[in-house]
Amino acid sequence: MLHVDRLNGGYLGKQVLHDVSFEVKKGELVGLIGLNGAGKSTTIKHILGLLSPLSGKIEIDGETLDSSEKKYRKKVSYIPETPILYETLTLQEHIELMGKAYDVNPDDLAARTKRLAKEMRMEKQLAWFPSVFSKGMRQKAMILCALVTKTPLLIVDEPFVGLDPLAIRQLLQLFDEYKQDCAILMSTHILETAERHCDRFVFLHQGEVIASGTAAELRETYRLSAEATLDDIYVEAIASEERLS
Amino acid sequence: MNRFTARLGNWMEEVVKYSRYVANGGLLFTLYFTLIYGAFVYNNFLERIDGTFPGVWIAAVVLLIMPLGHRPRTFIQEADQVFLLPELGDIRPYMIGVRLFNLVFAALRGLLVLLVLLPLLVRTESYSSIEVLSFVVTMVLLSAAGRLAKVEGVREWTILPFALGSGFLLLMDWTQWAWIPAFAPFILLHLKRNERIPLLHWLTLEEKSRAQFERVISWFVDLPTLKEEVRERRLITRLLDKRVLQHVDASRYVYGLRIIRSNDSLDLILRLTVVALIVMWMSGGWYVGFVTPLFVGLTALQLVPLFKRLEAVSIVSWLPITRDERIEGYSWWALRLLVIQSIVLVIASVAFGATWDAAVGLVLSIVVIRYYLRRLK
Repeated sequence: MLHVDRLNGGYLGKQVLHDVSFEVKKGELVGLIGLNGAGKSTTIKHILGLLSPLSGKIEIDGETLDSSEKKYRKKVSYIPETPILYETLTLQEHIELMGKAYDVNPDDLAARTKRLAKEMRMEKQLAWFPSVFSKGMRQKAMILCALVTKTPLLIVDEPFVGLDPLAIRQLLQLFDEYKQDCAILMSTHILETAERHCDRFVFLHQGEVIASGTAAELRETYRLSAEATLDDIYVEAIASEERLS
Repeated sequence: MNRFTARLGNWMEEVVKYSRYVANGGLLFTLYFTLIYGAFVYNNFLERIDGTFPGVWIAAVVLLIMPLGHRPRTFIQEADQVFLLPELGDIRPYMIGVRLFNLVFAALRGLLVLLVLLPLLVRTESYSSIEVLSFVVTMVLLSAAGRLAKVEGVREWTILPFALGSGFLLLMDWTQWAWIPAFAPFILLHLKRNERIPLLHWLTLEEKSRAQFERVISWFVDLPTLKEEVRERRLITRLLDKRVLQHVDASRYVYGLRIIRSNDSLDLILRLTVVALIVMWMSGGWYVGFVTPLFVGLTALQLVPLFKRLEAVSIVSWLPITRDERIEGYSWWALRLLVIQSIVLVIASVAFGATWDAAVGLVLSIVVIRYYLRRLK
């Protein structure tokens, strides 16, 4: 579903990503793991087309930004780390906007909204303006807006910030359901949760992919025991990378 | 250098910086033209009135308004909630600085209003120099009282009875004593003054004042961080929802709702249209038709930075809506609103005595609209 091939990129005058390559297949939830400043958000911004790569190729479901910006963007929805909502639109109107932008059938949109709002305990808040939302509600609103689109690829940047434990559990269930016929790329620091729900992991360090694979594959790569957690694997991966450099 | 002088210095640097942008912006001519035109219209208006005009009643109403609507500055920053806490008990020079600063600006506001009001009073009333002086002092005192009331966290309306007292003396022709009720609120304010900085209250005041400053600057310079006020406007939204919003694309939908609900768009158009109607009423000459392009231009001038602000931090940056579609969506609304405003003002100008100049005004308005909409790109 998502192919990132030898991506070099970053910000004006500062290259952050160096030959980043990975893929996310249909039916997969892939965890993008890295320290602060490892390049996770930069990678996501490149996939979303918010930054232009210096070189390399990004393809979502066979589309690239160059072939058709509109088609490409219709393949991906996004949940940012910091919620961004229009203060002038109610949550219901945000969902209407998503429906129009992604050409979602109005009946499907209404059905998905009803179900998701109920599951996320946001039914009452549909008619509210974001100015009265708590931090967690704002995050849930962003999640709701992204999930109703049902795009082939969902990108999630640190989704658990500001959510209560119940909401986190609910969100993970929704992700499990979403990925059945789509794909999810999730950037997170919460390794324990990632370990339980992600199918594969991509470890980023200083703008490079230092390892990728399932938890079992990564344990094997770093010669760790079967009891080693993702936390242990990650610490070992970083230590081994720093020993090499 | 104490903390207040340091922050005052930063503020002055900021004002100088933005003044330079404003001066270089090239849009100042619209404002200059409006001011010159306004002065011209006002002068004509004054020549047409005599002692029967209720100038003193207008002055009394202005006295009532003077304490209201102030946005005092406190120079408090968000980080002060943490870093200023240890100093809160010993920060009197800062508080005195803030009070003096606001006193000066309140006095300036009073004097600016006097620039307009005094010629009217001189024309309609036969005041002695003592009465004029008393009126000037009254205006300045009421303006300062309103501003300082906000600084001290006292409700503005507590100043209104004193303003009412001054207005009453004015109407009773005891103008030389009007300053006495205007001075009285300062006793109340002294008694209710804060001994320590009310941090959250002063932070809110600073944010609101800064937003107002930025709103004016945004007419000339793009300020993406500017916040807007939102009103639900259920009736207009419902009216437009089925007829327009449900049938338009995503960009027209999002900008339509923002224009309806933001105080920077529909409110702005209504405010400027009302001001234009007042100017037309006051002028009543052959040039009344030229009010239309002038005020349509002023409206368009402010709608352009609004779009740039919407663009800066926006969900649509990652949605499948291209920049061309966004510009088209916003232009679609802006064009319709500005054309409606032009038509309303042209009809009004005809009612106020315009003839051929109404048609010229309409043509000029369309040229102005096209010019400003091109600036969206």
